[in-house]
Amino acid sequence: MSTVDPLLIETIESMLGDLCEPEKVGAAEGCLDADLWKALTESGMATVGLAESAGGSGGTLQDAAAIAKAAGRHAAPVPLTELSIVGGWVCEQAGLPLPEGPVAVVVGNGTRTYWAPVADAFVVVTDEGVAVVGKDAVTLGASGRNYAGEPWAEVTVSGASYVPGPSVAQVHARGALARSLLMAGALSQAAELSVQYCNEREQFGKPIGKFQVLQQYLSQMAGEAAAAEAAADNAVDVVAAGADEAEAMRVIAAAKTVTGRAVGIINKLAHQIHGAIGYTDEHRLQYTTRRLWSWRDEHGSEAEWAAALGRSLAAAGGAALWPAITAWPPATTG
Amino acid sequence: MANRLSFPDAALPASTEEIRTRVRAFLEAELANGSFTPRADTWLSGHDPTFSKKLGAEGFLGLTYPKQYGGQERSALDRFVVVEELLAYGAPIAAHWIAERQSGPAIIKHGNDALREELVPGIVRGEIYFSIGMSEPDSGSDLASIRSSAKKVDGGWTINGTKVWTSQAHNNQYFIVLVRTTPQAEANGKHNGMSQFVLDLRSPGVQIRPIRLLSGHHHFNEVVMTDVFVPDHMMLGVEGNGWAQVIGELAYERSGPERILSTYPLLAALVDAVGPNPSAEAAAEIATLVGRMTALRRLCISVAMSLDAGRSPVTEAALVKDLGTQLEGEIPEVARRLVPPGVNERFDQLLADSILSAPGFTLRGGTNEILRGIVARELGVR
Repeated sequence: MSTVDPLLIETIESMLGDLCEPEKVGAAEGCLDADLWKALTESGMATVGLAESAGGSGGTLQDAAAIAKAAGRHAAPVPLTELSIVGGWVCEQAGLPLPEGPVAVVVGNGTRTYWAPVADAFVVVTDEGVAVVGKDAVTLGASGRNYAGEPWAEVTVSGASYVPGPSVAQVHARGALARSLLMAGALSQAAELSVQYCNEREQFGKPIGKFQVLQQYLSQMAGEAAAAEAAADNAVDVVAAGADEAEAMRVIAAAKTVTGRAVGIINKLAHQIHGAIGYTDEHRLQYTTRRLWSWRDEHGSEAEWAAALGRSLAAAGGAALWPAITAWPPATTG
Repeated sequence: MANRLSFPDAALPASTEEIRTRVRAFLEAELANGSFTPRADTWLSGHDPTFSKKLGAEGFLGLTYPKQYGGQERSALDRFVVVEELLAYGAPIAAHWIAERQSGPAIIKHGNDALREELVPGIVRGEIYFSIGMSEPDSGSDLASIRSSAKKVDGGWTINGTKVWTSQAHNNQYFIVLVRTTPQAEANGKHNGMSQFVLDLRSPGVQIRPIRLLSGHHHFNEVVMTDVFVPDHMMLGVEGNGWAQVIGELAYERSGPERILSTYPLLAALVDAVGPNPSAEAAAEIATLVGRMTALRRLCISVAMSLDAGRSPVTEAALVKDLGTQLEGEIPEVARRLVPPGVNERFDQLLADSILSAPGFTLRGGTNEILRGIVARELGVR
């Protein structure tokens, strides 16, 4: 375990609080917020967790995770984790320089690539190896947006020279870890916005938070959000402690499963609490809930990851289950 | 900003690995020699004094207690590890459970020297057992409405009243009973005027009547106290301070791994019962349970670390107990869908234990609805 400096959290929260006003998040749909990207890269926030020797800002994976959760909480309309958690890590592992400009990570040539239409650089991961290429080396095929307006396109890469690096499966998992962290942050935001709304909105002459049924909803949401964050944090701690590939896959599978499941519960309750205004374009809740509905499907839904984890657990048998459970989070030395 | 609830980073120190290895080796040996058969929900129903005494002799009880009273002054995280191993193995730990978890710490904290010397070493040896004397027939969630009372007499107190849902009172020697020492009408506020006593359940005037559960098991009782004399030194803590003391006890009662692991032995049996090549759907259902268990265990460790650091994470403990007891109840629901009856006798036994005890999971130690109210208040909406 590595404890994150509260000052880092304060700094990123304050930066994103200023730069992710709901109007700005809305205006960035279909593209990205270039000012926010500039602020995050120039301050070094987008490369926290990547070694200074590799061109990063230094710091731990736990630090990068704290920033990713903050980005999810503020619905930051930039491919932050494509650099900090996924693409930058691929480069670090492969000894490639970090890419410049907004990044997309191509996980298998010809596949759906998040943020591709607005990326300047592409981290490409194929069975042949990994590479970093510019826009000129890629062809965009079918394209679209996720529920939150974050763009994607199918990307075909030609003429790249590949070097050995993480596998397609490993990077897919890393993408799932990034989405789990973004979801952990966004889930806490959906819960928090719901508390605020319960205190502001009055019906029958009192704030609706006075009604026990809504108190029960809020408590359930806080619980599911805390559990989701715990699952994502377990994954970060286990991966940071140097787990082997199979163990990393299992703990990330658990994180994606728990966070993805929580979306179904929290989004439903958040919208129920907010009533009609909550599913209009003018209320900010939608920037959070639409992202959550998108991220739970990206880099594998909870159905896919849970099946993979379950097969691994079943193959190991019942006697191996308890040692597996108690291995997370890893014990600390000292 | 983030959640108003705080779950600081969680990780057990590597120093806990030594005792985990030791307790696992002990449990494997006990399993091998047939001293117990793994069951679900054993911390309330598995009353086995022989097993509790073995744990005491091995030094697995009262780990955190002062050395003066037989304890080892070890970290609460060492205790966390021992307890979660005992639960995961489905060992019979009900005899000493309440005594070791909350009565001992309450006596160490609030009791006088005589009481400590009389009772605590026996708890550590796994020989002295306690029940809980809180709920009454008309006072469940609304505990402050209790009517049992104590009147001062020469050399002690006379107690009258009825306690209920008193698990294992027929097997245990004592309970800590919460009573009014000042009538509610005369007390300054509903939470004032209550006191706690250590009451010997074999005292004259104590009647213990069984209340059978729907499973046919007997661990609940009704305890009727008629003019029961309790000597002065058996008062726990300060007269009139009972409510605050009870709330302190609840922090221990609500925060432990027993709130997520009561049906763990069934989950392990389920993994074996589906075999090494389950369908994608079965695999996913099991993994969803395991994923949530590992997340909740992290929260549980975080709460234990906060308690160990001297904080009072009452709300966080309530939240974890709400989620954990729901998970405990979902395990048998998934298990029965994935494995038909009659395939595996051990699985069927654990499933029966779990299904029939499940209604209690979300009631005991504070209903989930009450717990959510506590969380909501902390979130700022009550």
